[in-house]
Amino acid sequence: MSAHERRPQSPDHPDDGHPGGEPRAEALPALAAIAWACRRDLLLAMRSRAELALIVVFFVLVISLFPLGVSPDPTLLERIAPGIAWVAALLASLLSLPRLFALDHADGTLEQLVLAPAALPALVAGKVLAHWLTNGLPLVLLAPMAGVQFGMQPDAIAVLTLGLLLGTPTLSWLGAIGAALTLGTRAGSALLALLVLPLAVPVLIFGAGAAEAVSSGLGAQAHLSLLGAGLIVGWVFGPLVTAAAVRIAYE
Amino acid sequence: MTSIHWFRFSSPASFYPLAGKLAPWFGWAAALFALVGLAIGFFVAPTDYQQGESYRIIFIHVPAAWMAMFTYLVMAGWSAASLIWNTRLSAMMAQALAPTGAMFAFVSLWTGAFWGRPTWGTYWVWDARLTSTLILLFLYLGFIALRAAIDDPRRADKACALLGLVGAVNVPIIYFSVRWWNTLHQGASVSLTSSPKMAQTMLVAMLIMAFAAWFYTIAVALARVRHLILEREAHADWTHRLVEDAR
Amino acid sequence: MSAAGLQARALGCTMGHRKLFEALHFTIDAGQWLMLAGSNGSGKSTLLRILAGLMSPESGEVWWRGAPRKAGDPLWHASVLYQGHANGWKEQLSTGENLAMQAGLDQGPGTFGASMQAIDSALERVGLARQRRLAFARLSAGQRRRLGLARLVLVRRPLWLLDEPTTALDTDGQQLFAELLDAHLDAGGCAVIATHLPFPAAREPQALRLGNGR
Repeated sequence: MSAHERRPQSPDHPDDGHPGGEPRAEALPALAAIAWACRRDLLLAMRSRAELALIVVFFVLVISLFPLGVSPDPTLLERIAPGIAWVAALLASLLSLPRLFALDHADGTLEQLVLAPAALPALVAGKVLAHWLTNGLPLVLLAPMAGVQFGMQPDAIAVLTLGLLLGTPTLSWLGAIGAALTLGTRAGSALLALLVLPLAVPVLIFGAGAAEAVSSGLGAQAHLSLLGAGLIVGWVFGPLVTAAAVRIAYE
Repeated sequence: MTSIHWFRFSSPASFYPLAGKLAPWFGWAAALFALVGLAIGFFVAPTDYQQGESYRIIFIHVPAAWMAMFTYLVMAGWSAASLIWNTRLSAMMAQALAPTGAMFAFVSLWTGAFWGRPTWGTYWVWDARLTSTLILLFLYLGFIALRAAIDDPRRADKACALLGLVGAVNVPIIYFSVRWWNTLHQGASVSLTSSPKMAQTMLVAMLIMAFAAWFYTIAVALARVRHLILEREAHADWTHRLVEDAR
Repeated sequence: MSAAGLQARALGCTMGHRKLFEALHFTIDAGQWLMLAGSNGSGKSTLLRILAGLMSPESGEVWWRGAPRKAGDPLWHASVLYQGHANGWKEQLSTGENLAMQAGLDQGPGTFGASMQAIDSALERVGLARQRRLAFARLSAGQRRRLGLARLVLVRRPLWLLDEPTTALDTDGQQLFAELLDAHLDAGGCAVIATHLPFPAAREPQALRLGNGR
């Protein structure tokens, strides 16, 4: 379905070639829709850069709390480091999720997305992609720093980072489903956490487990492949389920 | 419960009296089975040579865990039905099942603690089944909380149905990942069902208790759905007539 | 029952316990428009949302051009322009950026840059040319509504579903809207407009008053 031919727009004169008010009824192709939505959300994110920095600061803060709350013993910290990094990543992504749809819902732009001449799953995929780029990817890039802070070995740090790279998109999708389901409810982010965190348990187990496996000398292939499988499933089914949830919010 | 799929009963108005007639039967069946099951479990089944008398709590613990899991699947089934056929009653059935499922999950965890104390010396261990049941409890609570958070009943129906399906798809994944996690870390390897040969009587007792739990769930769900029907259809004519007749 | 218009067949909707409307029928052909009137809470916005496909009705169907319309179908969306109560623009973007962004979605790829001229002339038409670089958050309520009019100028779709389009507009703005509506109807489009404020449209609408189904 090509949407390339364009007539010159003449705002005031309706006699521009289509009598009877008959426009071309064409839908935006999926890739174009993803690109549009991603670009829009990235542009909006760039306009509120301070909020992005907050997520990163929160991640580092949470990680730093554990030695204070547990013990500064290096052996212990090295053992629990992957778990801490993953829990912090989970919490940090929870923090940013409500903004994924709630702002658009409040100012009426989400309504227009639902009614746009483009597949809603594609538009949603673009939004989640932008969300991951601004919220998930920074965490992936920070992971090595966290690893060093906890005295992890280089190979474990590498696997931790790779695990986060594979797993954070899935977290974004689980979060997107939760955010869409809780649109317009009065409940705060606690409800979102209750919905998302249990579903995120497998990602947590395999992600942290991968780094631990490498630390104890076992291979992490199984963990990483499962995370990869989750990534694929997330990108295939996430858009459909999230779009359905967004439509439900307007029922 | 799953056999009631005749479409002429799919309107709340016609299901209401049917549920009213069926619920007491299931209730009595549940009581009977529970009595028999507990009798066997507490008096007839032999004393376990390892764990003594305290193991008898498994006659409640295991059926409760099974029911919690099974009820979630049935709830997901009703959720799917409500999304596919857009029926209000299917969504109400899912809503009616959720609290009971949550209760069984909680009972399973609670009795697990009582079993754990004399056996392992602690009230809680992070074994695969207990941890999965804990997560299942969270899934139930999430379902109930989402329902409560959305005001419009039809929207709440659909949102919870979607959540129920997403949860159901995740339940096997969660269970599998928790088992993996548990075996890797050599957690408490005491598992009730894989422990040294279950005596025949123990198994029979557990099955009877499982049926008791199932009938109880059906009875309670039917009673609860009657309340839900009355609440949701309060503006309809037939409910007004009911109130009139009752006077 | 012409083949070029919008038709509502036996639409019914219940909100909570209140029956908003029941067995609602109307037909609008090309070049006609329907004015929805009714007190607050009578269901005007809900009816518009049902027509657009955002909400599903309890009963009844919506037909477009002789066939039932499929809610959620992108091709249907390409035929209808809906504007709800909320303005539907982003606060952090400028007026021009907002319009360009929306145009990119409304009209497809390849026009984002090419139609800058069209965007400028649309803004000119609605009197927002000087606010082009101004952040949307800094516009007044009336100016915000005018940006919605700019979208009407820019996007050509046969059916308009508008919820209170003239709220906060001054007399000039209302006059402008009336002109745009007339041009749209002359070109064969149709519209359903919920409004309490009269505006000087050239064509007489069919009128539908809601609020009797209580």
